[in-house]
Amino acid sequence: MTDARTPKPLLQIRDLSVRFKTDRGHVHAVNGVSYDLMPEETLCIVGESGSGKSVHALSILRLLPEPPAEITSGSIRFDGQELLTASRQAMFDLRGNGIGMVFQNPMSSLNPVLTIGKQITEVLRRHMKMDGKAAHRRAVELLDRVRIPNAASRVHSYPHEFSGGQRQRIMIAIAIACNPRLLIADEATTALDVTTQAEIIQLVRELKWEQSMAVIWITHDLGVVAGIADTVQVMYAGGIVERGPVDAIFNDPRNAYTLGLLNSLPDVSDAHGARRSLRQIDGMPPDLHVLPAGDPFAPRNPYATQRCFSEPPSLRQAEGAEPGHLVAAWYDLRKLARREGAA
Amino acid sequence: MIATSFLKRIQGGHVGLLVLAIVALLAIFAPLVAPDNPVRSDLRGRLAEPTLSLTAVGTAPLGRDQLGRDILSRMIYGSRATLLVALCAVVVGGVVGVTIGVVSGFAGGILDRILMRITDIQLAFPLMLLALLMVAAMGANFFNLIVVLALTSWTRYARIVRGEVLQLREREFVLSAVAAGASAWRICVKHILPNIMAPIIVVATLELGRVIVMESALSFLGVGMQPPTPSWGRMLAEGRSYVSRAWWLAAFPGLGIMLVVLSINLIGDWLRDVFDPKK
Amino acid sequence: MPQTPPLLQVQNLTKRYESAPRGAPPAVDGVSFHLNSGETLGLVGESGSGKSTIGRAVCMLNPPDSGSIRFEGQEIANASRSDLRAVRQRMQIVFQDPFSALNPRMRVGELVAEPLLIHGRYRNNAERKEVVAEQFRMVGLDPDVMDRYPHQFSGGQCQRICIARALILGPSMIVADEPIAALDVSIQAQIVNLLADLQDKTKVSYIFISHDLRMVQHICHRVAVLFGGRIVELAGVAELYSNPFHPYTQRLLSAVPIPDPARERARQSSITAFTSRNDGDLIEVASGHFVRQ
Repeated sequence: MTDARTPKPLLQIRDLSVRFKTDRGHVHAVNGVSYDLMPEETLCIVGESGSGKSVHALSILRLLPEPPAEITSGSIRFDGQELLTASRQAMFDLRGNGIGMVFQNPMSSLNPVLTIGKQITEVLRRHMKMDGKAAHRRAVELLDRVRIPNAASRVHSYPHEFSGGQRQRIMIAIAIACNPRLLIADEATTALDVTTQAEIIQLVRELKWEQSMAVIWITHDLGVVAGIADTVQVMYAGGIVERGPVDAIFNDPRNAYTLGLLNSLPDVSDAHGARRSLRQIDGMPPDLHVLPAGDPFAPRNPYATQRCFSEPPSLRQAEGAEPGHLVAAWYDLRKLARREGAA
Repeated sequence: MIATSFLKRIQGGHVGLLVLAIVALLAIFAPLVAPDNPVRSDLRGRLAEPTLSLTAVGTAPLGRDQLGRDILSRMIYGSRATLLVALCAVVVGGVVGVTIGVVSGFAGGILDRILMRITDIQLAFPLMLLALLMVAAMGANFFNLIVVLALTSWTRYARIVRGEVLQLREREFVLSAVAAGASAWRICVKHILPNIMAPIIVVATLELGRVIVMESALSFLGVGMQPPTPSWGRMLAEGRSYVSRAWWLAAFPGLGIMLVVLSINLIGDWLRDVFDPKK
Repeated sequence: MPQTPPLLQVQNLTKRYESAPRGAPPAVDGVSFHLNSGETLGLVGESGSGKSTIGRAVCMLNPPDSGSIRFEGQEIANASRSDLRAVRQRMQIVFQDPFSALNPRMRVGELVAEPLLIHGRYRNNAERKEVVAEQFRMVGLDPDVMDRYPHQFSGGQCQRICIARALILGPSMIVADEPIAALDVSIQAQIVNLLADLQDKTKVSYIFISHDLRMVQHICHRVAVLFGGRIVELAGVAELYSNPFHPYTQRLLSAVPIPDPARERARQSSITAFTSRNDGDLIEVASGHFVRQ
């Protein structure tokens, strides 16, 4: 009999709701999102524009301008500390230290008038209280680790002297400089070439092991998800529609939107490049000014039932699925559809 | 409450618009509104003090000038000349400036360089000197005044418009029109011009204010509007020598100019906000 | 087998940007390829490969510095303005950002009708309106929305409008420059299906420029891989994806993540950067399959 101490979640989000004030009323960007993230887990959050994936991530670090953003309800606990009521000082101490974040556009994320060395040492001196020399040494080490060639001399260069992929590596270096327990990457490779993307993903995989970090990787690219995720969370119209271990999500999707996303991908394994039509999802994402009465995906869902239109489904353990595979759906997809070309 | 929310939404631009509208209405309906004939001189009432009362019979609310003319009536009639000259100058200057800016930005190459050199030369020329020279050469009348003011104005449009056109030229919807085979004329008129109206309107509004001040300055120097036509600049000029004895001769026209220019600037700022971030 | 002449024949296309530093290789360096009628040719490559430049050069939006472009048997690289105007009815372009590609101050109906007006077709207003309405229907939009402005539509709808505008003159070739890159994933499939449908209906040919190798494999018949302004490999799509010869093509294909966790885990990624520009010639290693040495 082992004394199994269940590990405590690193991040606990409960019932998070965020809305934005606009001229036309409130946009309900995030609606009642709840999940746990364990230490060293890699969670990929998948969704399209309007899914709320980026907004909720920015709320974790309280990076949303309030107003016009408003966190109307919920709690975010990181390492036991409640973030939504934390003081400004506490949040300053957390950013770049306990939690690191990498954004999408490397062109605009770095300060063009400071050398990259300065931008890294700034973080080190602020959070780790290093002196100049030590910070500089560590900065060079970090650049080396993210594979910037000639780190010792490049540390004095300015952002514009680097390529997009290199700038993203520098961003990663800054984000992990203080050994954060959580790294959040919001579409970090979307703007990069596919070969550069592969390199960055490999880098993050390595760093994750070295630094024992949890990673939240936000993306719309299911290929990237397949390569790095432990857990996958699919979001639509501000809510989680399905969540589970990566193999389960890809091989046994239980939500019609997840299935739709998987089906609409051309299958590269098909060597003869089948030229049949892609299985598309008809219609458009909903207007988030008005929260629908039922399941937000119902109008586009060929498998929707009456109940889908009137009652919003809650996220529950899927029947007959692996533990931890949760789905928000009133219908049973297994009976209604089959994933095309599932492995 | 309705009142406070209404008050919160009033912006400088609205106030400016209101003031300008009042002045414009006074100008248009001058014959109906002015209490007295602006050019009738009554030497007995010469340099009469302002009574600031509209009901007292026979006296001038804003006083009388050195020829006994009623200042209030002159202000009302004078607003016509001031506004008309400014409007015409802005329109002429605007049309010329925008055309040059669009041609320069769109055509590029040698034509662009030549036109920009001309613009630079024009800008380097001291405005006052140019105005004085022109008036000396061609005489000071309404038409010439407009030409002079337009000449000092067009460069502002040209520069800004050219910058906007250079950016717009690379936008995909313009390329799309080129790919469809549209002529340069069509592209400039249908695609480029409508999308640069915002900065043009803002510049035009601000130019209106600047031209009014310039007209006053020219009249002050004696090369603007000629007597007996009242214009605020003219009145300011004539009142110059009486500032110590009869301050109302210069004060009221001066206040008038200041009020109108301030209103126009407020409108200009407001328009800039209206056009900018939202569609 | 009797061969009809290709719709488009590009030879030795070269384009250099004035702002490029001296000694830098041209953005497009001696590129040659052809496009057959009713076919989709993919141009793939990463940023800086020159693929967009080729697309714009072929449409004569950014005319090439040298080289020949024969479209429907006519040399257009140095055509006169009036000749070019006539040719433009036969070739069109669809851009990446659908919002940017529509004049925000014009109604979408007017935008789609514009090519007709430019070339003096359907002078009768009512007739023209009907033709425009038909175009809207063809791209899956309700003609009633003709009077709205671009900002009132979503990205996917705007792209449909752009496609309607591109097709209204019945061109034989459309250059699609990253047409789905700016769209949500679930909308990408809609647009790709639309393009394929339209090709079936109208036999239009596409030059499909993209960095999305999965989509390219799905929609293209032949694919040219670009690196450093040159074609390093050119082959039929099945052949290229199953049997890539050139190291860059191999690297590119191996870097594409596969949406299958099991297979991703089995793969390893390479880290080394690919920098060499081969100076050899393009040789034919198999029928229709060309590789740069």
